Amino acid sequence: MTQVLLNGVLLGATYALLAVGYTLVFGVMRLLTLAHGQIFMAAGVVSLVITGPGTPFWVAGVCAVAIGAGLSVLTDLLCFRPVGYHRPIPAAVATIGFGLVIHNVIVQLYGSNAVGAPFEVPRADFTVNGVLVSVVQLVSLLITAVVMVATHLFVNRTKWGVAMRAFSEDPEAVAVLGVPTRWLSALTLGIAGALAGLASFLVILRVTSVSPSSGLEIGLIGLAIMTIGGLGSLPGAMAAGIALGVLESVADYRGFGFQAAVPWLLLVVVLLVRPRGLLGARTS
Amino acid sequence: MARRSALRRTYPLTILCAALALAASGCSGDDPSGSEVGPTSAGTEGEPISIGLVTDLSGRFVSFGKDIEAATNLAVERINADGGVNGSMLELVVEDTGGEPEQAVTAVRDLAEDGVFAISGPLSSGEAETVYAQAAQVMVPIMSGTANKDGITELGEGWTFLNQATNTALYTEALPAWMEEYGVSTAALVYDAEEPVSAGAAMGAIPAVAADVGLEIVNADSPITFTRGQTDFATTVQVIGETDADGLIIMSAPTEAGLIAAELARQGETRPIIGHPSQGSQSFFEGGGQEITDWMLPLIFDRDSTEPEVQEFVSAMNEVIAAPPLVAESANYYDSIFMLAEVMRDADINGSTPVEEARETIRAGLLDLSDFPGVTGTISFAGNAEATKTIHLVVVQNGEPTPL
Amino acid sequence: MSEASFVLLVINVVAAVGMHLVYVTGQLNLGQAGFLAIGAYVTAVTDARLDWPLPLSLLAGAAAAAVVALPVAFGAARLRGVYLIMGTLAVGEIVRVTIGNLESVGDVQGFSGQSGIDPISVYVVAVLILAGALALMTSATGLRMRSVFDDADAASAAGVATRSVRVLAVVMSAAVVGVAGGLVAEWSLFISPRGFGVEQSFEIALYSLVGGVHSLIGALVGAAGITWLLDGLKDIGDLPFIGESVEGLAPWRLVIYGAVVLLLMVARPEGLITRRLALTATRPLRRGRRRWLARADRVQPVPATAAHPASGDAAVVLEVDAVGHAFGGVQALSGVSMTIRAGESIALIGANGAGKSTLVNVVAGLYPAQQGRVRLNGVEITGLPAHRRTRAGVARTFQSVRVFAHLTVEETIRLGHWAGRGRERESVERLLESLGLLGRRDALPSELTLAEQRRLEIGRAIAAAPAVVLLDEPSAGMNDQEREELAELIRSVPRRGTAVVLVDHNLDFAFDIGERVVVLDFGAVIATGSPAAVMANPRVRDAYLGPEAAAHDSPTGDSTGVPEQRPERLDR
Repeated sequence: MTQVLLNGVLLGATYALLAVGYTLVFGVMRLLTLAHGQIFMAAGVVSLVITGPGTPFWVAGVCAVAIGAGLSVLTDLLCFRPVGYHRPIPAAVATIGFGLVIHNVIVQLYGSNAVGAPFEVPRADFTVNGVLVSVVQLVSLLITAVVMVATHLFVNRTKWGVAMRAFSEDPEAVAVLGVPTRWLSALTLGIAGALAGLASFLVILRVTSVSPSSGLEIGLIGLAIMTIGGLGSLPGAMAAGIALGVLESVADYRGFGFQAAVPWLLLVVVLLVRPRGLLGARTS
Repeated sequence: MARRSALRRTYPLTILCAALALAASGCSGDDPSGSEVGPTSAGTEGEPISIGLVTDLSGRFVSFGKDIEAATNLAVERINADGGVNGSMLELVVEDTGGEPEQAVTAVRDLAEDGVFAISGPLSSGEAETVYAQAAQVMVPIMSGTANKDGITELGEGWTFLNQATNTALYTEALPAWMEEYGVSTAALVYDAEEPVSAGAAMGAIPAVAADVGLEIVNADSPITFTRGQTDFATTVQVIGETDADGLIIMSAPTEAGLIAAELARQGETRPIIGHPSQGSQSFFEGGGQEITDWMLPLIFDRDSTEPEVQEFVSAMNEVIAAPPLVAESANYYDSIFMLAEVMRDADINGSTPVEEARETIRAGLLDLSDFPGVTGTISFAGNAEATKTIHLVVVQNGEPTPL
Repeated sequence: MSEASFVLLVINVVAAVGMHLVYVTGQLNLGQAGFLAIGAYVTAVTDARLDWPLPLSLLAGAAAAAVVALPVAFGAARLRGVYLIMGTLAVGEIVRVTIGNLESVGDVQGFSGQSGIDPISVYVVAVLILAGALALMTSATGLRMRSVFDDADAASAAGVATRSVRVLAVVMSAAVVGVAGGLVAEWSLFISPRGFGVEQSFEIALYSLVGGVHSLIGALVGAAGITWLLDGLKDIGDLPFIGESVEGLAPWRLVIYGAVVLLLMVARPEGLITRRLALTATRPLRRGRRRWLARADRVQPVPATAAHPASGDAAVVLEVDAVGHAFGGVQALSGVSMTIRAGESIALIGANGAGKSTLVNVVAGLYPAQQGRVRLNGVEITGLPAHRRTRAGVARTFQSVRVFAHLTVEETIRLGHWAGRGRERESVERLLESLGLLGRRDALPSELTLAEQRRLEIGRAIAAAPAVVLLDEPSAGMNDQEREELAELIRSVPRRGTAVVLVDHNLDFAFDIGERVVVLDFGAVIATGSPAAVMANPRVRDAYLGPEAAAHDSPTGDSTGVPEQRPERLDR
């Protein structure tokens, strides 16, 4: 059972990393970036396709982060900015369109088959008390935790972070203060995209391949986690991610027939009790 | 402000037009096969014979669909190069379903209206199940090389054919061979509960055949399931490890199979595995790589056969599409065209035969067909809508498929 | 487009109608695929296994979807924004997975055996659904549904039971989507959970979002357009002249589709068919309808209550009795009491933060009265929610003008008018005329000036012929001319038999209208009386102008040292 729980925590960390991207964008800009899941997928696929065999694995990681950030900034440039930051629904629909574009371009260019990692990932797994621990997963967990803390500190302690938070309250005031708002939105989305790329890379390290059809699924789970944790709450996203990972792991273990519905059941239960998510704040 | 909003309104339109123009100039020509293959020789005697192909050229199965289209085109080109059928050239009309059953319905009805003599396809059992019931209404013979879910061919009331082995046929031959090769008498069943093909095999053919051949499925009451789209199999494989059995039966789509193989290796699982034929495709090998060991697949195509026709087919396919034909089923589609051609030749059908007469004759002729020599081996319908195929067993060792 | 494609288009249109019914109330339901699935499976099973006739099977599908939708609707009524969207999405997925686990209907492998349906029958069903939806949306119920989208609080103030409307919308929408599902089942002859996933929910939502949120036409255009686009792109190689060169685009059609959605949202965020466009297109229809309605309108002469009811022996209509309300630790109101008689005009004044708006909100029912009671015509209304109070006869306007962005002037008045059903009211036409908005009856609020919007809001409030109307800072943001016109309007209200409670910062304006003044300070009443008496009150001067000013006063109202002096009003 310990193994199951550990698996769950490690799985949950990946989920949380993805959810943080959504939470960041929603928390700062009050907007949904529904192309996030496809960006996650595209970062993974393209990073594997362009790195040939023989390249060290971390190169693919850098590529994934860069591609993720790039595509996410494009979301700002092509979707949010032209539609308008004050129009959440049309902006979100525009990102749906953008997500469709990304997904189908990838499928048409690279096919619908999974893409395997051309590099070797050192498999240094070890066993502790009968529990198998993957070094790759541990490192992922560590990186995820560090990134979470860093994001939290950035948003709450640095000048840019404070400006980002103020932006969500009153975009005009921030502009008056002399902070270039154009850069703020691009920065927020860039960070979110970079996190998606990183998450994609960490998953590749664990499973050594990525499938072009994984974008929608993972994107939805990320959204679900953000909602469960409470929109705009970083600690909420992390807690919800871990919780879901553990729940799914236990459900798998127990042979629960409704595995695919676990995230959704959790969401419904949480919303029934707390209509604003676990740690969701004030009005949405 | 006014200038900005006017700009905002025109830029989307200009971008749209520019993109369309760009795409139009760049995209056509990339495709190895156009949407129609016309007659190859200049003086055609009479009208060409129209054959329809319904497959996935977009959507989640696009890679399979492209292989199938390539194989079908190769067959049509060969036949036309040899003079066509009774003097008439074959003309292939391709319809893309995007993997959606309703689109398949539209495709079949459109092709029927266009006057095709027969239809090859569709790709998935889901599409086929939707379409087969329509076949009897539009009265066009339909033959799929891949939709092998048990029993759906009956929906066509005599108009639908399966040029592929059913799960029952595959495993009736494969399971005993597997049991003997690895000394297996008990097996654990693992499958994707969300994926119709895998779930269908796991809940239908496998238990039935296993009972027949004396294989005990230890977890028949509570099989190990996972869900499509899952990427983390740590717990699933852990449960597998805790199940006491000689071997594993894993029914899933190729992508998940590859991921499971990787995880099985990570947790030190070494028991023999038998899988589903659809796993013999790119995603499986990309995902599992060298970790795939002792994984048996029942196929209907021997890629390494020394028969000249097979080698010709394989090398022709290699020229047309980038990856080698790991998808055995595209060979079925190659054979399908030749089978149709033979039936038409024998019945003196050519381009001027009335459509309804041609369709009925082809239907009867296919049903009668026996001992047809295809690249996939000997094929017979002989009164059944589901063909008898030659089963070829392959074991993947360290990522390489080797014949049993 | 082939017949088979067209049938699918029509089925999508039916689903789009369903989407419109729910989204028109502002609830973006992203779980429609779940109701589609329920309709499909129930129709298929009752047809294939129980041999029910087709119309009955379709009805069964719709009913089943509606039944499942009921608890979902109640849950959804508590959710807002993204939470609502994700909650409905979750429900859709849970339904799909549940069906996928039911061996009796083929679980993930699907179900078949339906008897099928011909295209004509599909069209007939679609036309019936469309007609029904049209009838609904042009009725009073439709108006109430639409008011909830823009502003739920304003809708409550207009007498709309917003929660009931929301629940009703979800259930009706589910039923219609269930019919679409039944049609899918009968047309495709084979259904499986795979076809009822998130992608389908998104597509159905896109019909409204892309086509036009605020009109039924928009949903139709969205469904037809999207289906036609995807179908047409598949056959793009068949185009004359350019067909050959654009042939290769066909497999890229989903990319093009995505790009089109994106570009459309940039160019037309409200969807292709904006409210303004829909209104323009249906103008001739409205004229006809107006003639029909004019006959049904009750034409009520303005009550000639020439006898000014400002005397003390007029009936008491509103009694505020020791009302108190606190926010967190701050006591916003304490022990506030006042009585309002029929046809009176009261000015409620006080410094910023004195609690005026809070009092209005408490009386109107937006906030609960934590202490004290409120009585209307002797009947206690303390526990009633806002919309019931409006129906009972307590109307109000808001501090920042709150009208319905997507309802025309006439629709807004009609909405308010409907809130007073059961009472004798002036006809909508006459009211529009006296508001000076008759010529602007088809305008949307964005096309009106602030003053016109304010008049519209007041019109909405008084259209129900309430016993009392509470006006919260109506003159804010107006110039002198506009303020004067507004004052004239407000002065005419008591003549209609409605008492007025006016809150305003502008003392000139307030005293011009109010014959009696109530002064609040720190949540308590510190003075009531005539304007002159109240302004002479040292406590009042203290509250407004500071302690020094009060100290300079003598009890007789000597103006020495006081910067401003209120002249005595002689005409009241």
